[in-house]
Amino acid sequence: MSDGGIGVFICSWGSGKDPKLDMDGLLSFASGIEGVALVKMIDRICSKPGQKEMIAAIKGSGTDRFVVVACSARTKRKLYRHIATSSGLHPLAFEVASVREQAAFVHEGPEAQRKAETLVRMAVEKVRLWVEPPFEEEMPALRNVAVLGDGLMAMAVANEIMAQGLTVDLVMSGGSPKGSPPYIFSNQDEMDRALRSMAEASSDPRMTTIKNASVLDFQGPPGDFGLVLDVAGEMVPLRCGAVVLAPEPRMELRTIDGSPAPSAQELIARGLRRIVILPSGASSGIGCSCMTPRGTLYALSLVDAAPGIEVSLMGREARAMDWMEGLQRLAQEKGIRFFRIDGEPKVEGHAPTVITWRDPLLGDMRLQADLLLLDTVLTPEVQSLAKAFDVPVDEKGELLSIDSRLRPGETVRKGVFAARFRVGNMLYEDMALEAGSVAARALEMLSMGTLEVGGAVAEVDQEKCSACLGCLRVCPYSAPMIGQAGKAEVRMELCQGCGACVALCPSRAIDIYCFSDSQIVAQSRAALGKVR
Amino acid sequence: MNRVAIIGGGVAGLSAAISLERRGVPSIIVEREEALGGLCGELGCKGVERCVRCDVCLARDMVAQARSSPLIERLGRAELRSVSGQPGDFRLAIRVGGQGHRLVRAAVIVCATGGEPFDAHLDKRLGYDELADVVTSLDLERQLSAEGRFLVPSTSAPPKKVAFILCVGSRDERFNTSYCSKACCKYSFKLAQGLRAIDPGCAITIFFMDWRLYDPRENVRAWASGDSGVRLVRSRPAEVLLGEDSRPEVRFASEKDAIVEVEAFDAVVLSVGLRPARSAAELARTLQVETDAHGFLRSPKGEPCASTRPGVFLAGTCRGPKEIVECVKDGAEAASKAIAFMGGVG
Repeated sequence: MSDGGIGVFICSWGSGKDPKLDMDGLLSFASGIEGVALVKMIDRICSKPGQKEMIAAIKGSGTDRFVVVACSARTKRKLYRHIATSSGLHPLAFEVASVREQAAFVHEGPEAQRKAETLVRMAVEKVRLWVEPPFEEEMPALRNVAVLGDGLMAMAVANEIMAQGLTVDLVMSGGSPKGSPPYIFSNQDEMDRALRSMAEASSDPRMTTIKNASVLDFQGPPGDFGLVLDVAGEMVPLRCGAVVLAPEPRMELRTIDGSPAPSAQELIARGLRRIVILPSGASSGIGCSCMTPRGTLYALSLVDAAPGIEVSLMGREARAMDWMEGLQRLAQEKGIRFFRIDGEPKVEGHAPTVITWRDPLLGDMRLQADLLLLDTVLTPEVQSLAKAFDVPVDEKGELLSIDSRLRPGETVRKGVFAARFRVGNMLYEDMALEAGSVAARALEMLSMGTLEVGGAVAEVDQEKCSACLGCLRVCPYSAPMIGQAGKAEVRMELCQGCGACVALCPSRAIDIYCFSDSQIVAQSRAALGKVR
Repeated sequence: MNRVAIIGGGVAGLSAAISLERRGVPSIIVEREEALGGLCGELGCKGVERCVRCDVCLARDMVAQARSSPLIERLGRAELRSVSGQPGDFRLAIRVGGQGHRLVRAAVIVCATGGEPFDAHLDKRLGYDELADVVTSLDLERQLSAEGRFLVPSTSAPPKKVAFILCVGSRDERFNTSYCSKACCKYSFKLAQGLRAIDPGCAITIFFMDWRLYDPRENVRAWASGDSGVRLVRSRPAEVLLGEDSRPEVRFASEKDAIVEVEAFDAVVLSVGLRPARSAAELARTLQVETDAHGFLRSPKGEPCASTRPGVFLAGTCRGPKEIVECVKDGAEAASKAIAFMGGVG
């Protein structure tokens, strides 16, 4: 409960520019709410003079918590925390009424004003019941990163992290780095350089390589993860500050019975002249790679080695970027044919195989092939990593990023990052960029050396807890445990404040700081116009 | 001196600044315009009924984040005039509108000056010069974001039939733009979805070469086959002419038979691609970096975000066409490279 009263600060965002809201009206509305000790209009809170003014006002008034009536906390939370601590308050002692996004942007006239007022009241009622969370301290983060993956992607991530002075534990599922990388190189020189940097990384003293390893267990808070690895039958513990998952799919051209694509010499020896390459995911259009340079490069290699060979490539869209468009022209000049598929192609017979399909321009088509190759994508590592780290997989079979747009590289698990792979069409350069930006996320987290713990975390009321173990089961972060008193306790450093245990607890013994049941009820009552 | 000078305050530059900030490295953004946001800042949210992930709000979020950061200094209406010193200790002479010159010292330079939308006047055959009802995707987007609807310029009436022509100024050797601009088929798909949502009475035809949408949720074919008001035509129109009823007419090779068809629309939207900024060549001289065959600033192969000069890094569309998310990644990568160049931190 507030002793010093609640402060309400209204950002004018450049006074009068937004005619939809009457900020002065909002100011007098806020002054009328019980328990509000201070109301002040600030000319742009995000400006430095605005911040100073606000800090001085808080210090001078004795309020111990405040409401910011301004833009969304999504982008400004850090700033508001800075204002709180600079004013001598707890960094979480505030609420935000985001009247700009939730009222001014989406409503007109009196409706906008009414909603803005409701938002202010809701924020006041919520912050009124705010209770100081037990901790908000910082814990030193370990300064090494575990990178999981066998291929160039993992190596590129490792290189980037080591370049910034942190150490890397490279955890490989196999015994040696994988050979032919599934990327498209612009020339031999680029490929040589990539393989060379991979070799250099392996001998870097800042890197420890753990081969033939699989993950048995994953525990601990971000900044101090504990992994247990199965290394050739032996249990090996590994501590690290952050984890980067960098699985690399294998992409291969295979025959219909699953054997690898033959070389030009083999084709000549076996008298196979007409080759057709189909994408394995023809119907979905995703992972359709035949029309991209990988298929084209293979076709070119065949035609160059054995001019009598006829190669036809089928696909849906020509997804060639950058210099690769020129490659397709070159291929066409050399007699390689490209066909578009509409719908699902039909494949019948064997040597020759007859393929019939519908081309959107040319209509019904039919082609005979001595050999049919499928462009296949194999992602064996993804599933096992997804399972070990409890990271969901998306519809493309990639590790799910929490929001690939807002927070690229982050997974649902804080401190666990994942590199994404554009199946079928990834330039080496694109891969290097992906690896670099994922490494940057991990470095951002660890390079400050400290991490915050606590804040909006769950706490168990020991009196009410009946030790039903529900919270232990439901928690995705393994935060609750049964303590010495035989009751559930939440390990604060593991809790991410998701609220799953609160919703489940049959005894209503669990509450979350900054989002307590009583706060939510008060806020909801305010929303429904039930004034204290 | 571990400060990074960022030239350009669009998404790539902002992303670099924010990434640096998260790692405790101060930066200064030199922005030509008054406000941050770059080209992205001119665009509008394309979601009408629901979010279509156009990523435009990303730019707004990042502007807000950058503005409130104590580690990010901003110079508006500022223009880079010259660079002296050497990598690790650059001196940048910057002209700030209304304030004369300012000398900025920085260890590293991140260039994020962006590209430019293709100037539709250049492709004379598409009628942007002569026909009032031929607009660019940018014109459409500006009107949608300002007014929430699109009206046919000559009649000020809501359109009943709109054509999108993709790859304008992209994959076109006549303009030295043989590359794919990456963003245009994506934003056009989203703009078209927006138009359909605003007015279900407005039929849409999209003339395309190839769809290059990678997100499985953005399935343009499923959308078109589930909506009778949408037609996809794989054809690159040759001309847009003034029809008899003074509506624009699109001439294109028909998909069905190899014949030329002419079809009238209320409005034609040219989906323009990205090309190098007009100032790119001069900027390259100032920064002493190289450009590529198309005129973009060049990153050596296999070294994304590097330039041909140590201590100068490139981010975003100044080094080639990119979509918004790629620019965000680029910024983070350039920041990372900048920090590594300064010897790592923390």
